[in-house]
Amino acid sequence: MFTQEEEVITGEGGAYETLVHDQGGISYLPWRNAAFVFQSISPFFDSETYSHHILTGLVTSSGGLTESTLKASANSLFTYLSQMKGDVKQLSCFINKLIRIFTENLKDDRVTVPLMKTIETLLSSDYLGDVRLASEFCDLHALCVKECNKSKNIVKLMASIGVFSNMLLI
Amino acid sequence: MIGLTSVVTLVLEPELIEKHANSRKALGIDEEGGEFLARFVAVLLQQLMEKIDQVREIAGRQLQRFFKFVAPHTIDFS
Repeated sequence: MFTQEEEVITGEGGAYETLVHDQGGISYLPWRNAAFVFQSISPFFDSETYSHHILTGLVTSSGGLTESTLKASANSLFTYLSQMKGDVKQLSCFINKLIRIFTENLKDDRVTVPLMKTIETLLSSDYLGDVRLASEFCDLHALCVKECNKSKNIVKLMASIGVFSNMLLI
Repeated sequence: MIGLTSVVTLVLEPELIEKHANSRKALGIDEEGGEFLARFVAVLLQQLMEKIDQVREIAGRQLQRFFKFVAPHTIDFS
């Protein structure tokens, strides 16, 4: 009565399908593996043409809920920041890119909430704890205030509190 | 994403350049600097960095397809 019928797996979707039904001579690459993707794309973080789009995607992943994606994206962000070795000019350029993403996506919760979570993570690390970046932090602070103004979204408000409290620690 | 890539790939097909001349003009594909193609690749890269596994997989495969079959005939990305 309670037996479960055995389902035949047709191989629809997933890496398995990619591997088996590889068409048109395109070799298999593990695009589903977040660590592989973020590591492969990291050389383009400084690209003038592509960095904005790459960072937009990255901060959305970095502030998300999926543990593996979050870990891989945060890891690649930290590796990228550690390569700057505290160079204020480069750090300022990076924060300005975040400011641009924030400005372009203001009131778009799908981007701003993960972005604020990412900023909180970055602020809580030592990489951005430089007083010389104060003017950039002021801009970020203003954007967070603007974003949360008259908002009743608890998740968004909590993310902004994370940013504000970490700014106080700098 | 698959649809968009298919359209762009079709328009860029080397054998069909004359047939899709109007589409190429409308999209600004032949304009100097390759701005359209740069934006196309940038959008696919953005999808590649997304948190959803399947989105990443499709974006990655579309990028592979684009660079393998279309880019060598169209633009030098190096």
